Amino acid sequence: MIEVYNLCVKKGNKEILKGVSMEVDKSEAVVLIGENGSGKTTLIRAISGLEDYKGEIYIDGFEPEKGGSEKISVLSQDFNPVGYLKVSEIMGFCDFIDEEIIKELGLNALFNSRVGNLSGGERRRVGIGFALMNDRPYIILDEPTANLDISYINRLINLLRRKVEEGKGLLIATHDILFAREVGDRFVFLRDGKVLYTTNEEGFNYACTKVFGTNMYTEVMKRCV
Amino acid sequence: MIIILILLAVLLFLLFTFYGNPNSYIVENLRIPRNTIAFLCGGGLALSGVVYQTVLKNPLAEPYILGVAGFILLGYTIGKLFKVEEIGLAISSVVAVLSVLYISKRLPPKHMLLVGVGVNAFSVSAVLVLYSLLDPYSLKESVTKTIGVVPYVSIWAVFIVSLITLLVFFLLMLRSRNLDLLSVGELEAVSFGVNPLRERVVSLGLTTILTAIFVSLVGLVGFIGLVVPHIVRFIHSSVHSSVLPLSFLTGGIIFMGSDFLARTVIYPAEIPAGVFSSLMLSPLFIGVVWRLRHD
Repeated sequence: MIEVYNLCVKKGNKEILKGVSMEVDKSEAVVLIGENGSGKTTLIRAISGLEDYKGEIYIDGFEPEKGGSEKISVLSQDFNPVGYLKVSEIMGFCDFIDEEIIKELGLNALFNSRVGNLSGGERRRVGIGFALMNDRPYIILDEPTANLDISYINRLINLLRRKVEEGKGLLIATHDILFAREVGDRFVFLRDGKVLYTTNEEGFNYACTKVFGTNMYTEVMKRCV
Repeated sequence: MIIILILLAVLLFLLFTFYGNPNSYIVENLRIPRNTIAFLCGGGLALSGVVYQTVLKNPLAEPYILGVAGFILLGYTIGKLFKVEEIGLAISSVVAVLSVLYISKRLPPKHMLLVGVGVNAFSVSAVLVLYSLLDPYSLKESVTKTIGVVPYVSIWAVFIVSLITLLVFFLLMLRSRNLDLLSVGELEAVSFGVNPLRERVVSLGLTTILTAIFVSLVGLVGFIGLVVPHIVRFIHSSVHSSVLPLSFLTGGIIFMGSDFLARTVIYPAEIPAGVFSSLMLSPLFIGVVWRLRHD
């Protein structure tokens, strides 16, 4: 279990996270929802052990810098490897190669390309593939749907649900609430570095309305219909 | 690939050593040490290039272009003024590494290169002024220091330099997987148990030791560190367990060849070896920049 208690992170004089508590269990997908600047990425960096923090973080009982961060596989918000790396080389650094993930993310066609020549969406797919093909109990994805088109978002949802069924614990940060609603089991709403709501599907609409001012979920659904 | 390069290196080493039928004194005391130093210098510079480019995630980074080598040469020259070259070298190396680490977190890669241009211009000018203060007749020596000329050194010095270079090489080889992961991303590397900051400090520190040694012995040699890793990545792969040894060998062969040309073209006089390596590699440098224009 990833456990976060009363987490505070300061950058310079600015408090980014002000006492965040949350947890992620195995076999569930927890989605962090919040506007830009609400602290999603900082929370993920703290769990990975890249931020100085006050409070407590335990991953299966270990603090991040004491072996905890080795239990998670991460996709960073700006997945941006050195431009001269080839996609096949990046895949070679993974723990295993899953042909199905490669196929679903359409990575076969990119294998011989250099990362520097990929488009934003293509690079994102490579990053997702990298995060999913490592053998860790927890997977953390920061804005996985950024730059992805709708068909890949659907395939991503299927891939992620399959990972949950396999027993992985997922923590996904996003501001795409449609994607969030489909992929998540539980939802943590962040604003200004604080957790406003932690809810399951039933409270999703209510929390959305409270956090974003209007019922964004139904708004977006209306737009789609 | 590695075997071919090793064979080529050995072959060229023997050719350059026994070229022109020299007597055994020349071979043992002059040519073997000098060829070895040239080879190690080229290899060491290429290693530094590999590490700088990966660790700073900047495909055009290397000690020369970032001004690190120039700054260390300045430190060395100031040290020389007070007859404490080693202290000058040590202080300037530490300052250079720390400032690179500090600046790289705060400036985009392209701006870092421009800072390097500034540091270089300042350092080279200051070195020329200091040398002329030291001894007005040593201006020629100072000019060759800023281009790179391979000295004749004792066999003991060669032994020590080889030992340090090979040690750094093996330590970097042990970290090759960490370097691979770091080139994918910081967060991604962390989940493999890599500590990004420690990795940066250690690998930059190791290569800067090499930079300091070769700046003090040979001077400023440009482009090998920048271009050679890209040649290797282009021809072979970007995985560090092969980029490191292949770059080391290729850099060594290129600089040993440059030094050979430097000694023979206008024999018995001599041109700085750095002239030939720059002559060969600067067009390739432009090619590299062109190839990476989309990154």
